[in-house]
Amino acid sequence: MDAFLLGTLDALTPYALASVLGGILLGYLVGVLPGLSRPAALSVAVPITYSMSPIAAIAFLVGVTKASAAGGATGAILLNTPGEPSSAATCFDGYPLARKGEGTRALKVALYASVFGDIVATLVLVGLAAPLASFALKMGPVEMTSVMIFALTFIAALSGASLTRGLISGVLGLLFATVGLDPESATPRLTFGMIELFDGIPLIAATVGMLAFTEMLVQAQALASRDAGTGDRDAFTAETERRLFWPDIRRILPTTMRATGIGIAAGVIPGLGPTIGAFLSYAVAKRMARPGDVFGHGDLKGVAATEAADNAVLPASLIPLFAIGLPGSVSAAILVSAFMLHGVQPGPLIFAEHPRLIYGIYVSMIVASLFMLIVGRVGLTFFARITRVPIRVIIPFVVLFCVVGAYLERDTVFSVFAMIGLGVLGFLMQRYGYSVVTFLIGFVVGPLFELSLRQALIITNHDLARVLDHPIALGFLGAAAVAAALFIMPGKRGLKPSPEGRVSPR
Amino acid sequence: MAASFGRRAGGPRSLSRPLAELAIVGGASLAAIFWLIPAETVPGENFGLSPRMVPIVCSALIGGLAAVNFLAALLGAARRETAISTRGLPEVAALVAATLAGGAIVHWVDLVAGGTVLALLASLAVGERRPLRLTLVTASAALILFVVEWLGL
Repeated sequence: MDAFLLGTLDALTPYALASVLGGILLGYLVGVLPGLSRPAALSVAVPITYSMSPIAAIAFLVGVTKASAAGGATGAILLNTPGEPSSAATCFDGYPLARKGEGTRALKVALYASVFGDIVATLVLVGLAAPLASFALKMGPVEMTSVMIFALTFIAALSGASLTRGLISGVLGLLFATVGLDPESATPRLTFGMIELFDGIPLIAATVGMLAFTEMLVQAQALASRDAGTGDRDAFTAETERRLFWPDIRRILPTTMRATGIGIAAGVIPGLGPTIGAFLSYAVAKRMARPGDVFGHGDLKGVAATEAADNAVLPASLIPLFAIGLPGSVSAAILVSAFMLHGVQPGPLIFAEHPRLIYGIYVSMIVASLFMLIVGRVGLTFFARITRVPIRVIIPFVVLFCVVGAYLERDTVFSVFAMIGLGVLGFLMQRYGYSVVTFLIGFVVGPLFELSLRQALIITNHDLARVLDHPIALGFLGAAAVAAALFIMPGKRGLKPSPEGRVSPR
Repeated sequence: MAASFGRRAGGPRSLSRPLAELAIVGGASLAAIFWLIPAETVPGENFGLSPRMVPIVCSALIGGLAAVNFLAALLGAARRETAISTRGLPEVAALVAATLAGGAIVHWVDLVAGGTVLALLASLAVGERRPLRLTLVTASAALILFVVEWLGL
């Protein structure tokens, strides 16, 4: 109890609070600008904390991480430009909401869902770190492969009007994900002799290119097709309602809670991370759509599903880190270096050796969530004004952010050209009815799926019967089989949107 | 995401588009299996999987699905295809060209110069001709890029 009180006092000193606030502000900046990824920002921020006390340093880094996750939604909703790859799924419903005059409502849902997911995951971290960490230890390559297969079945649910074209897009995403060095033999694969492709197709280039740049091409075509007299402001409908009402909250609450659970699971299982968590959560939410839901056409549920999951991942990824010293995400791995910089070794002994620090970190995380709510609430009033800017001004700036984001990811112009190429591909895919969403799911899940599959094959010595020794894997494979059957069976593939965008049972 | 932009409802049922789709997607799949993947991968004898395995399986799946898509159209199971408008494509091409030019200047000069020129060219590509707005967009882009450079991002 003494350690808890002392840790709480440490976390509530003006210095620690200022550190959290500084981290939140920096994190929001990083989140809003595409290309400045969370891990990159953390890597830059770690040296800044050299002279800070351990609690202030960790609080600062936690602030950066949390706010970058929440800030990434802003560009995704208002400009279809995800600030983080994990915010890409927020574009699917956030941007249509902004276009039909509900940008502020979408931003509010994104913020509140982010804070909800974050606080719940933090409380789970405080209460259930030890038992959940032991579950994480049981997730070997065979189990991970089955989780990935389960995730890939959701491609069928998100295929849109044509199942076959949706599947083709998803498999194309998987194919694009194989570009780079072979994970087993380290030989170049589909790199065409370009060293820049050895690390694979850049993720930011893919998400920003296929979502933001593609959308700007679509908007440019729409602008040119309009009559000259209509002006250039009609890309966004004027906002008529900015408030959220109790029926809205009651409608999205179950989705938010379910998404938080998915985000926690994605954080606890090492390797999944926020991007896969957000995509998976969106797929599940869409699969469980009810009559009246308009997923893909601007539904608050879609925004809540992705943002709650995205923000729940970080606190949950600290569970295996604190309990067994195993980071659950790239951000958590970078936090390890910050811990070690301040003489703290994450792992099971941390609770015995540094209880005061651990409790201080827990309190700082809750404080960071509250600061995130305040900063986000103040900021969204300002950000929402973007929708009033003429489309002829928006397009050049979004294209500029696309280029800057792609360039900053690897500090090479190759990423810019990759982004342009993928943007044009996305434009053609949209034009001919191929889903960009399923492409991105395949592309995001692909590398981890292939790596896990190969490791699983080695572990089982290519003997499929050995899967029977892995009950968790069997459970996920069974769930994948049931989900695939449900998605592919005629009349069972989710809910079909009507011409007006409303969803009704098929 | 405005996926359906530029379509007209209720076009005549025709097999020419499904056939062209099969030729393009299926042809690309076959080209990948028999030419691209063998040329761009090493046939390693790994203990796990050959480096070629996943790309070939993906390409074969794409080809198979393209065939299923064509069969569905042939049997009338697919929804009636709609005509796609070609209006506005020159502007799309101009925007892509402007972005490529901006990327090239980023490569040859630096991010600030490339980004500033890109903002100007992109504005022109989407039909902006007002000098004041062109100046403001260009100056704002330059300012943002200077800040990015100054922060060392």
